[in-house]
Amino acid sequence: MNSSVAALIVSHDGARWLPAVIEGLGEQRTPVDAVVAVDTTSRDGSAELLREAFGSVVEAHGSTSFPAAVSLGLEQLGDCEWIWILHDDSRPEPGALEALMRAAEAHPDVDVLGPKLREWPSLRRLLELGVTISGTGRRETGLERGEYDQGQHDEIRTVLAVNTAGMLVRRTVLEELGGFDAKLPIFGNDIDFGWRAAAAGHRTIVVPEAVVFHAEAAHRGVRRTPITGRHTHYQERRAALYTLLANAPAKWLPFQVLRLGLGTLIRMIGFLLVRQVGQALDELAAIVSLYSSPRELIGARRTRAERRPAEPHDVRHLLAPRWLPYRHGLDFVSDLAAAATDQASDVAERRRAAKLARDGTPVRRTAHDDEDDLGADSGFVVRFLTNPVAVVVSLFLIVALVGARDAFGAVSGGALSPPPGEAADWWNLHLEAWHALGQGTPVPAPAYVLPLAVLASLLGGSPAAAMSALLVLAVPVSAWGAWRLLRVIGHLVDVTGFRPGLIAWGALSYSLVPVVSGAWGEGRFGVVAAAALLPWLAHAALGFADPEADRRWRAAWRTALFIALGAAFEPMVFWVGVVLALVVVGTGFLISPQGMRDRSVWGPPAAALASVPLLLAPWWLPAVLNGAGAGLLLDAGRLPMAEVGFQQLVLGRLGDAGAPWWLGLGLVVLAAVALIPRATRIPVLVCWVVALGTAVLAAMLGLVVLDFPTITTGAGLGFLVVLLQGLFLVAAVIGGHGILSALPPTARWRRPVVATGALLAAVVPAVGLGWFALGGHSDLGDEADTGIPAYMTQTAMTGPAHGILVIRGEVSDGLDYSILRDDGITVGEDEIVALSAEEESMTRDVRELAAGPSPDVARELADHGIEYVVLPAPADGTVASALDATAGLSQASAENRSTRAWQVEREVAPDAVDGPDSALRVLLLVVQVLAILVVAVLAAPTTGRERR
Amino acid sequence: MSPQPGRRSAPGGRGGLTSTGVLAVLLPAATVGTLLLVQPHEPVDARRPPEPTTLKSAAVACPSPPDGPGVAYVGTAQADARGKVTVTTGGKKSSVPVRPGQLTRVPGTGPVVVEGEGDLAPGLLGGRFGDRRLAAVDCALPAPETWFTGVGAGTSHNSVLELTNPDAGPAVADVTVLASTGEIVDSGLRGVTVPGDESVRLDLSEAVPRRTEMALRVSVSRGRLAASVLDEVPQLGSRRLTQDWLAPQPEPAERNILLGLPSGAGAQSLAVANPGEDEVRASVKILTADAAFAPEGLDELRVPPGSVQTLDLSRAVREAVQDGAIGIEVTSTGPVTAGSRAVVNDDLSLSAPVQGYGSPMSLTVPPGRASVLLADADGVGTATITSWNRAGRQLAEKRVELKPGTGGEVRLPAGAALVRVTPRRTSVHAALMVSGDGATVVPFHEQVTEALIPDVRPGLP
Repeated sequence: MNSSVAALIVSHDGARWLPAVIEGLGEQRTPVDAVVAVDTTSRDGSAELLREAFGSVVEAHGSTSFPAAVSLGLEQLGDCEWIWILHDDSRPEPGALEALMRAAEAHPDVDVLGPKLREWPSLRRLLELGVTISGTGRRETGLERGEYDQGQHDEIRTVLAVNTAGMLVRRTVLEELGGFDAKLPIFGNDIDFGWRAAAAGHRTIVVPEAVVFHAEAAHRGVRRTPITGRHTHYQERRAALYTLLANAPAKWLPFQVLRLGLGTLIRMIGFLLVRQVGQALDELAAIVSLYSSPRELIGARRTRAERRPAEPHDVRHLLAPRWLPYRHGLDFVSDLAAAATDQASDVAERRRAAKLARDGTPVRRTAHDDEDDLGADSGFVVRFLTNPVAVVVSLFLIVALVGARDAFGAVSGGALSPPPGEAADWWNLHLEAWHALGQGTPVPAPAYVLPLAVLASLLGGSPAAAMSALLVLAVPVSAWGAWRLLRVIGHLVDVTGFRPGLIAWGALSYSLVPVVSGAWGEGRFGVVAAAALLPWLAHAALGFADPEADRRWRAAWRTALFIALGAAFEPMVFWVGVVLALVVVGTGFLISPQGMRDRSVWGPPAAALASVPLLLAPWWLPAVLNGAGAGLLLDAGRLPMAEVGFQQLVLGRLGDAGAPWWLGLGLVVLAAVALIPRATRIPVLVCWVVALGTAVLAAMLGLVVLDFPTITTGAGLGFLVVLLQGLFLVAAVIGGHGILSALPPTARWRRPVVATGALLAAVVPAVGLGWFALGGHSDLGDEADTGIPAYMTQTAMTGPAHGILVIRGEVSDGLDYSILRDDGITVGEDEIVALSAEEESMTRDVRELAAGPSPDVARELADHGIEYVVLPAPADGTVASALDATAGLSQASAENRSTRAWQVEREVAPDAVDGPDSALRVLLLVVQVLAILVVAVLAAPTTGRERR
Repeated sequence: MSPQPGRRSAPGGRGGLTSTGVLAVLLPAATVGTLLLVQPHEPVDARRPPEPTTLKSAAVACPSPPDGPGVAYVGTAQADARGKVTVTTGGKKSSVPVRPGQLTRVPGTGPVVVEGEGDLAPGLLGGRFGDRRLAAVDCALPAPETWFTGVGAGTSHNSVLELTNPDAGPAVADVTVLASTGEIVDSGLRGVTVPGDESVRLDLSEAVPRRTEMALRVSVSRGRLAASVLDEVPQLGSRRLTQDWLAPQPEPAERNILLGLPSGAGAQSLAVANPGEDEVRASVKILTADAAFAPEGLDELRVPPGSVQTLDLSRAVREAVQDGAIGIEVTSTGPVTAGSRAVVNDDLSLSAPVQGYGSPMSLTVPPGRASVLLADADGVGTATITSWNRAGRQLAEKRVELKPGTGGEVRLPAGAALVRVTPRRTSVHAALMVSGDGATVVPFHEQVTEALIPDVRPGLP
């Protein structure tokens, strides 16, 4: 051991750690030959500590960077072969230097050695074993976060770089490479140095036998220096980008510049999504600062090029693999998704914990004896097959898919119009301020067009697939949502939760509500969608009961998203939300005015409801402005609304395509019986209170009569039917739990009684499912016969001005006319057409046309953008003969002999249905997008901010 | 959802009323009670009747003359309308003047289409007379559906259906033929296309040769068509050829009144067609000016679905005509169409059911002894019969008092060319009967003065 080693300690405000560092240095089994300490004007007495230990200290200015401090230290050093750099927060183990020196001896070609860095002060968590940098500038250690040192990495490896804390470097190499880059004052100078060393042909290894404990004070922001400033993330990011751009081979440079630019955008979005605005801004600032000073980079590259040998060594094998950044991205997204879905599930747990913290009553959670799990070591199939609940649920869902067979393919019928041809049609419908429907209308597209457009785009651009998915997946999705909801309610009601069988019964029964009600069969997809969303919405809203204010707020934004999505399909979701919020918050003020005064108690529900109008702004505001405000009370789909009265509300029926009415009696009777067990009476009463509120709303809305030019109809109460059924069901499940808990667990008659009750209760979902699976009740089908000759439809597709005027009815009973353009009325357009104001001149022309031959009518029809006139079978002979006698109309053929058709002989006016653009629409769309982004970001769970 | 319920050990185990117990009864009751208040929106009556308006344009078509060239008479029943109407004959359009009460001659060989606009649209009328022996027809308005009952396609008599298209575009008619054995499916008369401004004559002996009586239903599926049927009894030995037009019936009815019973020696028969799905029983009564009675020895006629049956009325009518009978009434258990034919004194005369109307009705009068037959008024009122000669001078005006179920017969002065029946406070069935060289009967029909403007509104697609 004839080589000399000098230790170089750089300190700045490190008095917290310095004593341990000095102690560690003193304990080295291989003592250092010299020590030079550099202090950059610490204000905490670090310099005194160092002076005490080592005799002298090099005092430097407070803004001296780490590279400059190292240079200063080097100047003060006498002759020595190795420099051992230590930070003021890195404590070497007694054998550290010994191990490093031994490795240096064993590998004479090595010029830079690094120890294994572990967490301060003496923990087993690994921090670094050599580092490298990924293509996106991420510092890669190759370790899991918080990985424990169990000797798993204990072999000497060649690496790109090692941390400067504990780095042992040949003095000649350090000087030859010009030391650390002064442009990297704190962060990243180690990687940059390693890269330069590797490019110059020097080898860097990590020696795991040498252990140094590191506090990473600067990185974690524990220590702020004039150099780090407040924005450590900015500094780190800038250093990483600088390192990449300064060292990358010239041929990669343009690509790298572009990639880092785009990458920054994506990373910013990622940071914004998890509400780390500061970090996002740091990202931006880093790249802007670097890109706006190209001279700095050019200078850096020139220096490197000068110092490098003519043929630089390839360092690619030392850099992180190319796929690594994407793998990190995927991990991030999946973590986020998992966190987002589980946000509310443990609200019961947290309430209990909060209660425990308040009054210290221990609550023991016991598993149900009759639902014992097989050991986790059994195979999945065994566990599945031996779990009756899992088997029943799976069978149920399979049969439900069979029952939904009518909805496969391009489905339409009942209240459901055919889907448009492409997702782009829906996007256009959503984006356009003026629709070429009828005579052209500014009535906005219904709000559900946006989610459907998104869904269709995700499904390969097929609206047919989107509608099909909506209808087919309605049962599974509502079952899943109901399962989650009932599980949380179970834990809220009772610490042990509901039995899985009971939850399964409730979830499956609920999932059939949209089907047996007849909403599914009648194609009332709005009700179906709202029914599928309802349990998810309720689950999110349970978050209002969370003991933590921050979680309540997040629950608010989550609930807002669900209400907005639900209200997009069924505006009634919003109104119900308003009524319930008023009832609940009002009751809260009555019971505990003091507690409710806290803004984080009443604020979240208020915010959830108040943000819905923003989220749906492009729909309701133009609707109200254009006299189509009645759309705020309508179900989605074709008019008229289903008739809803007492029977429908109590039995959960909507229209004629529902299951037999007596099946609906089951739920309401069970909900009433649920009030009997005392233990669970209060939560059941809560359900009934909400049901009463719903009933009041229904009674009020039952008085509403909406008079449209086309039809007179009542308000769309479909969602209220579903909501009542859901409430009855939750009440029944809670009551069922109450009854089961009230039965003495040891009684001999318990089992038969429970079994009988379960069998009786199972009748509700079983009969409903059987009825659904038999099929034949729905109005849905693959093809809609419009009665319009196919060649006309094809002509109509050539442009919106090539309209088809369809006249139905008889002279004696009145005639109805409608205008078909493009591909006819598709999903999303029904409401627009129904809510549009009547075009008086069009009505007048049709009247003239039907009353008798009139010479000018043909010209006016062409001006209205009408190319064909069709009287679908059975055509009124009087009207037909009047049209036959009208000059300017020539008879056109039709497949069906009793359908009559004419072609307008004049050219249609190409701009017949054009309308104005609207700046308001653009503004509202921007507002919507921003609102969705902001609410989604606010609703997202918090990720662990940074390593702490 | 927040309240944490008491567990089994929680208070509430004592008996008696608890607040939650009371609520457990009250809440469901209140909920159900409130739900009872929900009023479903009842769909309102969707019928929206049309509004009448003055007719602005009308067309009538006079059938071709029986053989060779002939003359059609065109006029207006409106008291103050004058001007020119458009006449299309043989593909040529011309304008002819029309004045109130006056008839204009339109000579030609083919059918004549008369179109009136504006004031001349309501009350537009025309007539065509046979030039061999007495035969007459009222120029018909185009109609979507027309029935002709008692047509033939055999040696005893043969009918020719003429379809005239008054418009420029093509028109299509579906002709259904009912015979004694039921509907003739392969008649080849479905989808008969009539080009614009042209007419088509269909000789039934070529299309559906049959010996029995038949009925035709002409249903216009495209365009407008005026239909007429000319029936002819061919010359046989000493019997001369005789022709007459059969008036159309708009739709089947359960009660049909056929007016005009020629007196003299000959055969009189009634054909009844049942277009329905079930067998129909029809009975016949004789109508006089003030009564209706069932003749003796006349059985009920059973008409199987889709078939045509005939009843010989010769004896019953011959006796009744002596007692002042003016027509017959056919009452049936289901809607039927009917037609009566008489070959009296070797002259054919045909009669079709007459509708009762309460508004003025006009006809052109062929030369001969003309009288207006009135029957079956539905209330107490009057009918005024006014006649004009060819020059437009009013000849006579006579008022007839009417009581429910009664009618009457009014002789027109010689030289009458135009006659109008104006019922007041009642509706009445009326027909014009002219005798002389044979006989002919033309039913009065309502003068169309109004068009119906349908209630039009935007509808659901």
